[in-house]
Amino acid sequence: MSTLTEKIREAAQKVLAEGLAEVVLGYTQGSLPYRNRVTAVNTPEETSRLIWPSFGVLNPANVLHKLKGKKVALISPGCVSRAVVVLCQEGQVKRDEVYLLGVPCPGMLDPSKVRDLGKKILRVEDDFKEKVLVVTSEGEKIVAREELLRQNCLECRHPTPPVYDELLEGEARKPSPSPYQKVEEIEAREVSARWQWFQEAVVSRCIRCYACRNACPLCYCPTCFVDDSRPQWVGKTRDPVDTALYHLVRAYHLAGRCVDCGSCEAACPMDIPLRLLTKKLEKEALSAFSFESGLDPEAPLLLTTFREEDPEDFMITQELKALGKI
Amino acid sequence: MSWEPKIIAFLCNWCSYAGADLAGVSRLRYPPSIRVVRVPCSSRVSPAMILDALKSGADGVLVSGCHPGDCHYLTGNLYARRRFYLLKKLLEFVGLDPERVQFAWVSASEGDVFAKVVTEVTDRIKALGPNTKFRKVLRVEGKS
Repeated sequence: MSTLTEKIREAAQKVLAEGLAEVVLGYTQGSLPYRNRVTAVNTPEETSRLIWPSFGVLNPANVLHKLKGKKVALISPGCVSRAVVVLCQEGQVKRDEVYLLGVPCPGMLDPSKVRDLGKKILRVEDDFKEKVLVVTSEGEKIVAREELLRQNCLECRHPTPPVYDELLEGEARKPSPSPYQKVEEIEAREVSARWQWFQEAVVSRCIRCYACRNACPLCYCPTCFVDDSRPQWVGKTRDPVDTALYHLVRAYHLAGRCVDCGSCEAACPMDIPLRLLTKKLEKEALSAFSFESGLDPEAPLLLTTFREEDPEDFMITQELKALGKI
Repeated sequence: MSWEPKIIAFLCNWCSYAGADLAGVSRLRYPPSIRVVRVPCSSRVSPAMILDALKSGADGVLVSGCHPGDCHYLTGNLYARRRFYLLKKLLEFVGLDPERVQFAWVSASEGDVFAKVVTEVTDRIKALGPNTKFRKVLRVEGKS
């Protein structure tokens, strides 16, 4: 049986040779054993550089806007495929201009978890099933894959892409049975404890580099609200209120759109748990509106549609009515 | 003198603004805590506007629009309802006092409801006290 890397190279070669796409977006080995980079491949010869990554933490769909006008094939695990679907729904990408090479995703490893295993990481061998062999300057270690997986892969609901043009053979991770466990842990706290968590884990750490925004495949506005000067929604200083506002609105702008690819968190230099905010909104969209993003390119978006029976008991008039005050 | 909260009220032009007008014309009594911003529709109000009001020193925000089915633009308030639901959940999640941001349906004929809503919102925000968490104040670098 051939490995996923071999299958990807073969499929990419075929796609380029048959003219199904002009460019293949995939991953190649980065400069460190625990880094993989997003790469565009233009010729069948170059496809030998492509790999199935252990550390494909950035979403290749983010580069699509730079390749406008070209037919692009993407090596697509669940989150990449879903990001492309949302871009299609929003009219940013035409469905027939992308070719999705679906990959049943076994989950990716977290570079920071691997980095912590030794002083210097020399080599990482991943069997994409159970075990990872990490060679460090201090010796070899065999670690269970589950322990090194990225948090968003542990919480992933769609490891197999819901939309694709061609699906490679392989074994995907099982969809997570408890995707919202971390969110629920925060929800269970008191109001003041939640505010303290938000201040400590998010606001005080943030240096406002906007890497989370730049890494996000769905943050494509030519002028982001943080760059607006009239009105200036977000001040230019490091004031904690401005930082808090930025994080709230950033997460909110991804409501019903975020596909939980985890690029924001992977790009964050300060290890801010950015995904918790988007995951919370994902949870609410699922429970209140039975909505999941990126499953169908023809479906309407969460906030461009409504149902008459949408919840409204959060409104003060409904509350007062229930109390018989109005 | 007792502290009176400052509440920014985004009122839709077609229903709630007229409802507020009716409350005034009917000489109904309600606290002088609201500062009205007239908007074309409740769906004109974006989360950034609500947060910006708090950041700029408001103690609370009230957004009010037409009842479902009464929207001048037919469905604007139904889109708004979804958005506000998610915003409220997000604000609760990060521990911003959920009572500070309130949403209401008030029609043009409900002057009494408008007065009651403002009274209730004011009472609730009074109980919370001034907005100190989400207000931007001048700070000197290195001092808290």
